[in-house]
Amino acid sequence: MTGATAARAAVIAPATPSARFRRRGLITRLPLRSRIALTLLVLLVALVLAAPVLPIPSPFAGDLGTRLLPFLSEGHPLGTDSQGRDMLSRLLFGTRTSLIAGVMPIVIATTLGLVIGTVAGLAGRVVNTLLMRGVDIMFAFPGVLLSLLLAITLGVGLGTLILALSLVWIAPVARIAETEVSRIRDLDYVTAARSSGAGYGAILGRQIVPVILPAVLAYATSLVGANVAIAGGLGFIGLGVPSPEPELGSILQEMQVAVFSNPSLALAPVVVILALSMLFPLVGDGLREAISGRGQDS
Amino acid sequence: MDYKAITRNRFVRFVSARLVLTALTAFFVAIVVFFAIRSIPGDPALAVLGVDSTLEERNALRETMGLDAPVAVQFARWIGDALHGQFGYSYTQGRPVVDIIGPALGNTLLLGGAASALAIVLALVMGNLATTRWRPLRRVVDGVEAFFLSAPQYTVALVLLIAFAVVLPIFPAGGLVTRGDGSPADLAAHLVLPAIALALAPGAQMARSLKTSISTLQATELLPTLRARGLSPWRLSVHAHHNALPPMITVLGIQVGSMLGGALFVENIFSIPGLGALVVQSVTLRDYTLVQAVALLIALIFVVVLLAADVLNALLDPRIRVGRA
Repeated sequence: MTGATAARAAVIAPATPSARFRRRGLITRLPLRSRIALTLLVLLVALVLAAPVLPIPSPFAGDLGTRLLPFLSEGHPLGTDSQGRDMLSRLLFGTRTSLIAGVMPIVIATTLGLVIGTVAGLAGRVVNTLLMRGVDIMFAFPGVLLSLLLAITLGVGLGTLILALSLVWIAPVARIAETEVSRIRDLDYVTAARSSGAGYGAILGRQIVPVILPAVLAYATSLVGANVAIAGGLGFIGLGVPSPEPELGSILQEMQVAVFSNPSLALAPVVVILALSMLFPLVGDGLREAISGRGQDS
Repeated sequence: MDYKAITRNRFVRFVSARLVLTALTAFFVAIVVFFAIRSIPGDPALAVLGVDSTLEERNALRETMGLDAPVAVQFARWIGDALHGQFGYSYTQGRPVVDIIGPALGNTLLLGGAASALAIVLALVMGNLATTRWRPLRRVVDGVEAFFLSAPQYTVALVLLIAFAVVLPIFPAGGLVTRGDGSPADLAAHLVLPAIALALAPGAQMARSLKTSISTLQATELLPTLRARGLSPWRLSVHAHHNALPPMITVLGIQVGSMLGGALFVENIFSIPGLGALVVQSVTLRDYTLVQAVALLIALIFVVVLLAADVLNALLDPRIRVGRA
């Protein structure tokens, strides 16, 4: 499979690296499910951004008289948590925190991973081996465990959470970037650029990065889902954002007390985390399909 | 030299190269675990003795804990002790770490084994369904696969717990055994839900790999040729799966990492006294000796599993031995 794909990519991909993305809008080439997922994500982000001006109670205002109210209670459509705080409000503000903790580390890791991967891909054998073995070693840690170690080392807080999660995702991005670079680095158009005197930086900036960037970004988009999941998991075991601040994982952890008394209440944060961790991969995989299928319609 | 000797020679070279890399990785893993825990702010002696202690008392404890030595020496000591099976003393439980880890390790391996077995079955079923000729079925399987791949284990675990232990109380809600009932059936009933929660993602990932292998094979003339020779559908299927096996083993090896990570949450949700629950518990209690030991153990299990997967692959697929390690 890889042989055939690589051969086709070799013929088609480098001809006009960036022109083929402008030819037809990328979004219209997404599969339907990805377009739906993208729409839902945009709506969700809009809703979360609008949360401060929506007519909902504050996510911090608790009332011990209204603890663990069920769904559709008066003034609390999604009920309340164990401290009587409005669940809808906490979920909206919690989603905001979780989105930041989900997206920011991927942005940082993609930037750094792209640098490591492209340098390793273009470098000689020694540098490549050193860098990629380093990446292998980072892979030897289960991601959850590595982020857990970093989270307890750096202390809890949104900033350190983002830092810890960034370090987790550098290795996967670097590996994808390196694979993509090694697929194209010996193609004729790169050799042509090199023989006409283009320097290392020029080849990197004009021949390599623009060609591999779409694939890497599609992959990064999918990673956001997995990262939201890990961030929520860390919140779930108390290593996320400190307590009164709403965050999906810690909300889930707080609602675990309701599992036996009022299970549907505990399901609300589950649904939001599930949605976030599914929607991003749906969009990312669609992007990858749209990009890799680019040769077939010409 | 005959052909068999050459391949054997290559196999030995491949395995020894992998062994060196594994040892190197294990060493770096140890460094990361040690220094991550060491750089946690705060004074362990103060944490143990409390704020009422005097400076002399704390210094004395630091000396007995070996914290007065240079960091490199401490690291060397820690590695040396770990190689001798000594992981120090848990200050919150008042017992040697080894005594705490032993039973937890057994429980996690039990859960991981059950989850792996389930994942393999799931992969075989889904991978084969995904390559049938009936398009609607393929699409449904693809959708299910995408869901399994990206649903976080702890959400799956909570949904399963609520659905099949609370709303429909078919399975026990937590623990590994019912008090006073040590039967294997009881143990199995306790393992079902947590094992499903851990098996979905690895199963789907392996199914994807199996699907790719089978559809690649379907694009060739091999299966029609074999069919024309009169092989039964069963024999055909065996041929198709043999080719798919090595990549599936690699995927399973990698996915063991996600299972070990997921065990952190799933064991917690189902109150299973395993390594994952132990990590979370010791993190909450700030018992860093214990965190250090369990984190090292989990990472080492993963490293060894990756090694085992590569060696098994080399045994199954001669092409791997010949290529670069």
